[in-house]
Amino acid sequence: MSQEIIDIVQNYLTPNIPITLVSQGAEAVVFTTHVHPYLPQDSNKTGETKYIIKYRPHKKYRHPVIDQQLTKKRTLGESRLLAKLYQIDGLKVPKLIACDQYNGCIWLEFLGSQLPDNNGFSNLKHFLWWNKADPYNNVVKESLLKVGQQIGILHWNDYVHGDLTSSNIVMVQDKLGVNVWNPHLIDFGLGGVSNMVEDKGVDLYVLERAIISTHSAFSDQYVEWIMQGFSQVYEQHGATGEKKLKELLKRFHEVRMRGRKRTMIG
Amino acid sequence: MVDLNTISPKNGRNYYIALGLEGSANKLGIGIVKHPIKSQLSSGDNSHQCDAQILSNIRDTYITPPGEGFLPRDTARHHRNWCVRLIKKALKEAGFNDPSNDIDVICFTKGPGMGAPLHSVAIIARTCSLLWDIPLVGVNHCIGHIEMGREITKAENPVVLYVSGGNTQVIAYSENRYRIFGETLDVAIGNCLDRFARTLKIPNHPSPGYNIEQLALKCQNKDKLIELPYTVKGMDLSMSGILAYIDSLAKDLFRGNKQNKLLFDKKTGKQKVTIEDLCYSLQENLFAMLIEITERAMAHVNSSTVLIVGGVGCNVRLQEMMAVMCHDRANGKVFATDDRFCIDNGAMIAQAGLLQFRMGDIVKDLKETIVTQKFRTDEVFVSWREK
Amino acid sequence: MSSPYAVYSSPQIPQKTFEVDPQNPRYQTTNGKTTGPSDYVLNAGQIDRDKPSDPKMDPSNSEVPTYLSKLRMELTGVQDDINEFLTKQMEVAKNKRVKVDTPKQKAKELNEFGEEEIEEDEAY
Repeated sequence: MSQEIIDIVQNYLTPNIPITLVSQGAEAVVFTTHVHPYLPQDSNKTGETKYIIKYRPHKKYRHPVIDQQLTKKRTLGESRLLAKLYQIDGLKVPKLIACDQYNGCIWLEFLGSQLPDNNGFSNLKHFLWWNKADPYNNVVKESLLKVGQQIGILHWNDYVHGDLTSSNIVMVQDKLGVNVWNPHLIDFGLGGVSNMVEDKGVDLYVLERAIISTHSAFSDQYVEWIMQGFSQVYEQHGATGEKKLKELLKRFHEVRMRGRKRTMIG
Repeated sequence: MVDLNTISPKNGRNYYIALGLEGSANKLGIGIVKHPIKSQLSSGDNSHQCDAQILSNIRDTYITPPGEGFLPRDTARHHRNWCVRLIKKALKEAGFNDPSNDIDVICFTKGPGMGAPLHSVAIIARTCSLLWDIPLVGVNHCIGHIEMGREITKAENPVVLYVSGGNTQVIAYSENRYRIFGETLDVAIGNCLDRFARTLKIPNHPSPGYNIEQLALKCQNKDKLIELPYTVKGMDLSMSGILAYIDSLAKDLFRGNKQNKLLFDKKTGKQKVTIEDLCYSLQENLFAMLIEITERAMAHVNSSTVLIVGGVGCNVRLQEMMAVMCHDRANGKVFATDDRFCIDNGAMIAQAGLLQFRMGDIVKDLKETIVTQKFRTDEVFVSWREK
Repeated sequence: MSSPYAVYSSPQIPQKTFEVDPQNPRYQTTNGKTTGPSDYVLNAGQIDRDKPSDPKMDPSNSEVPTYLSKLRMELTGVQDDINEFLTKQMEVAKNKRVKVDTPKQKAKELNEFGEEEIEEDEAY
């Protein structure tokens, strides 16, 4: 991790807001802090509540024009999207606290926890690896059904994620000590509004491939459970839902075949 | 456990010799590679340090006139009519005059690629194999690129960006397969550049992509970028829309369509944009997308090194951008090779084929040598690497 | 010394043999009629630098080609024969397909269903 980026963020936030680095994703660096951007300091006296600061650093590799456009578009886009998604019944996404699109910064509610026995942060990827010894246990099954339901609700409301991977799904423990996990979708930088089956099909295809490449040995069953949960959401909406589901699954298979059967020359 | 030393070389020698034949697209490549027996290769994940010596690596490219692509039939004819001369030259360069005694294995490209050219090279491979009584190994072209890149750069376990005329893939190794994390949803990057070069009617020699790179360097307007669609979809990307759009800009430019305000000044009608500007903007836009999906894959698998392979991998601007990204990300490193190994060649087929051969994977029946136009990178079981 | 030959068979044509006629000039050149560059690239201004090399003559007798050169020339001729034959077969198949459109012949065609069509892609 480049110290330069941390310095830029710390400089922008001032020393009054201490930050801890959590992860460096592809396009954003994620920090935690105990300071709320606008509520009075003493509202978090115990220091138990954490917040996420998601910063999109300037990417030196790309042309400044592309860089500025993307940073602004994605920061603003993600904030607007999260604000809308948060209001959808049943959909679980982090709560938006603040957004500064010119500096590429978003403040969010902190979600997730550390998995037991040093198994890392509770995103879906680590969660599945943590369960590797008993990969098809009931908790895994229930969790993946819920993952599918979350994506189903998202798509049913005509939103797409744009970058569904097992790293972009955070598992939140229902209650401390209880082995029940509620998946939350995060990282909507490439997300958007879309009623096109193509976009939704690609969304599912991207997730399927991410599961295959990261959880190869168990991917068939995992994808099946996710798709089961996904279908349930559409099936709840009667004949219209069934029709839309059929259309969507058909396109999903088409996108998949397109990928596998493409002639590859040279 | 991986042991690359179980198969003994011919005639009690302490080294292996492989002849590699490549012809999946418009390049015919003949390469001869030597592997000394190394005790370190009896165990562990060391297939990227075979101490391979390239005894010869000859290539001849089928070039078409400006504005034209290459047709399967004429490309296959090129390969048929040059192969004997090239093989003779390669053997001579390597100092061999008795192939049946000198060579341990003949490796050829089984796919993916264009049917007719693949087929003509497979026939050459079968003929040599029968003539000299040498075993055959069929190689996946993409695996050839990856293994040659690893051997040359000594990159142990990098994220691989494979960019060529027919492929655009982000690949990472896990559990005996090179798995595809991201790829193009429509046309390949090299194909996109080639087709734009055809619209511009610039020469296909030495390669269309190289000529676009040279034009982009001459751009006088580097702070002003022509805005193009930016179409990253997760770890995948799409390029056909960008190509269609920039093609239409180029055509308007040639036609002198003054209605296009992006290209001509509203009042004076003066041309604002040049061909060089278009090439520059296209490269900046496409490459930014490639780097972004590579970085996404790196974040996903927690890797800090990248290996660039394939013909477009020679592009210096792409290598530069990748190096900046890798540096900013965990002080990582980028590995790339030059045109000898980036562009399709015979040595890479010999390298990957020899690894297969040393793991005992050879053709047992000529039926297995049938070529296939569609052959995905993740279909190959990578026996020469640790789980 | 024997010459190369080829045999073709299909449900319609039980056996067709392609043989070398040593007197025919068709079998005395390395430049085949059907194995040249396609008209398309020639019209686009292609200069053909991929010609097959000329036959080599026996060092002791400049009238007689070497064994391998003779084989190459004979194969070039046989290849031409095969290519021309297959092209003709493809024409036949294509004409049959066009006829299917007329309703009267549809029934007749149906009876003959199962005849193989040669796809160009599969020719190699």
